[in-house]
Amino acid sequence: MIREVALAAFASVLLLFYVPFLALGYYIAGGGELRLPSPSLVLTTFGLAALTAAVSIAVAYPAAYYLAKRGSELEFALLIAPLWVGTLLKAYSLLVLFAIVERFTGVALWGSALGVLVGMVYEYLPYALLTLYAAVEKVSETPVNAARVLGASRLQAFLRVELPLTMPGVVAAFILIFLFAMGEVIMPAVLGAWKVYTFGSYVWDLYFKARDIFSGSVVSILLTGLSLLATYVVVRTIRSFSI
Amino acid sequence: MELKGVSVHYGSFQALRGVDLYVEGGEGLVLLGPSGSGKSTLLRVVAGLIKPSRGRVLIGGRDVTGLPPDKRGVSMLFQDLALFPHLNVFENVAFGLRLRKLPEEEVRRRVEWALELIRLDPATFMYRRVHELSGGQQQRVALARALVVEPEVLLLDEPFSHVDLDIKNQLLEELKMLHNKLGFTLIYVTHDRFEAVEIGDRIALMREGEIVQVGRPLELYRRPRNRFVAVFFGEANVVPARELGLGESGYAVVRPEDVVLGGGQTYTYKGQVVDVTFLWHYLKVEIQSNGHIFKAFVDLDTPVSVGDVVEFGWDARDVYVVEE
Repeated sequence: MIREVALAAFASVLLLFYVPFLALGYYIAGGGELRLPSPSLVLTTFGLAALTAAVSIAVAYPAAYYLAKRGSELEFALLIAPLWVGTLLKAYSLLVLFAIVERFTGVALWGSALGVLVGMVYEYLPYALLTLYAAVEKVSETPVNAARVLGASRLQAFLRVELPLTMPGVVAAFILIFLFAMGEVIMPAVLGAWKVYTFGSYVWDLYFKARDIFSGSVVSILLTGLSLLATYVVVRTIRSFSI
Repeated sequence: MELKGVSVHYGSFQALRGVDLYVEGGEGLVLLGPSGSGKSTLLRVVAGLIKPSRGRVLIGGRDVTGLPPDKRGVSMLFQDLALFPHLNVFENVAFGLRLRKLPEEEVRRRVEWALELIRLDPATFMYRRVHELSGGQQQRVALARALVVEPEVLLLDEPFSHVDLDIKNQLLEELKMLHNKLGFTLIYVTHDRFEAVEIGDRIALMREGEIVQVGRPLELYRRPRNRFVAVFFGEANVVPARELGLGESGYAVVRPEDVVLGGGQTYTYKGQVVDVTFLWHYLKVEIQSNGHIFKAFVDLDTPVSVGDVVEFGWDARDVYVVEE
């Protein structure tokens, strides 16, 4: 039974790639003009995704550390609460918040890259939190105590022992969030007001505004390929630092 | 090393109740006791990993009660392997040296010295990853890592409980040699009395957060302060003293090797042999008499078998009376 379900799932994935590859064939045969995204758009998307992952991890790490050491269930539930709400709803509720911020400080977040970043970090923070919580929780007390007795201060013990031991969690969180963020459409659309233009927005426009399904599907394959490549490079880099 | 009235509370649970202990510099002291007796807690208090709720800790005459673990000049070996899994053998051993910001040359020299000390060939093992090592080798590396910083006091928390018996004995032997050679003060926690006598000049027997008795192994064995010490530190026949006519209260303790088969002793009884066990150096004979089971260790060639009715007894000087 499970085998049949797995096969059906796999077949549907193949089907998903069927149209894009058909489209690719169409262009290779010289069927029409392929509308590729501009390099600056690719760069924006990469930068935004990498920054989202990095900021999410930076913000989530102390929280996850606190939760793993002495947090209560209630605190845990509250910190992952954004997961209960849909992305679109989060985006619109942030619009309200942005309006309030602008009213009192004059800083216009709506339509800016910073605004989009805030929205994406808000969206992906719980994922970082869950992944990092598991990683911190897994590190036993003994190596940390051993480091302390050998002459490490609390900070040194954290930097030299605990942090390296939680590095797999950091890498996992990064991959997870980076991949999600690469394909992000809603946050740039709503919070970026179509001014912060990403890969996701571009594919959206190709499909639903230009009605160029062939270009859209080829570009989304490109996005998948680039995401995987970028993940590989990032993971290798992080790994080389941690060991 | 000295503890003065050290107490530790976990909520309403009292892990240590006003412990006083003095350990001579260079001495080997074993904290022996059943699990939950507070021996590991005591060790952690000395290391600075647990803050006592009351009392003071002195090392080398210096009050270190308020000092964090990294400022105490102690080193510690843990029960579960505490090697850093993300570092190789060299970096594990070098950990404490790097924190002291020693020059690279010096670090290398001392790591090699420490590895040779615990008899791991530096050339072979230096760049191994720790998970490639056996349990015994890992504990050797942990020992090297603890000794390389030349601690005044080395604390060991049941360090060899996860290694095979033969390797454990070998490690105990080497630890003892290193202790004699390097002259650090050694405090060793265990629940195993055989291990305790291997390593300890003196033994502190603990129960329920208190030290019941401190002394040389023979003292504890021959002059137990109470029934708990008599039973926990060696095998013993314990009978209410009243039954032997040795006073109204307390218990009479007789060691099984002092029990003699055949008549002629100050105290002689009759009983039936219920079990005979071969134990390498002697036979352990269990004799039922007056509703008690008495244990006797007798010569291997003693003609005795289950079901025999025998006379047995002991001399007056081999029995001593202790309180509850």
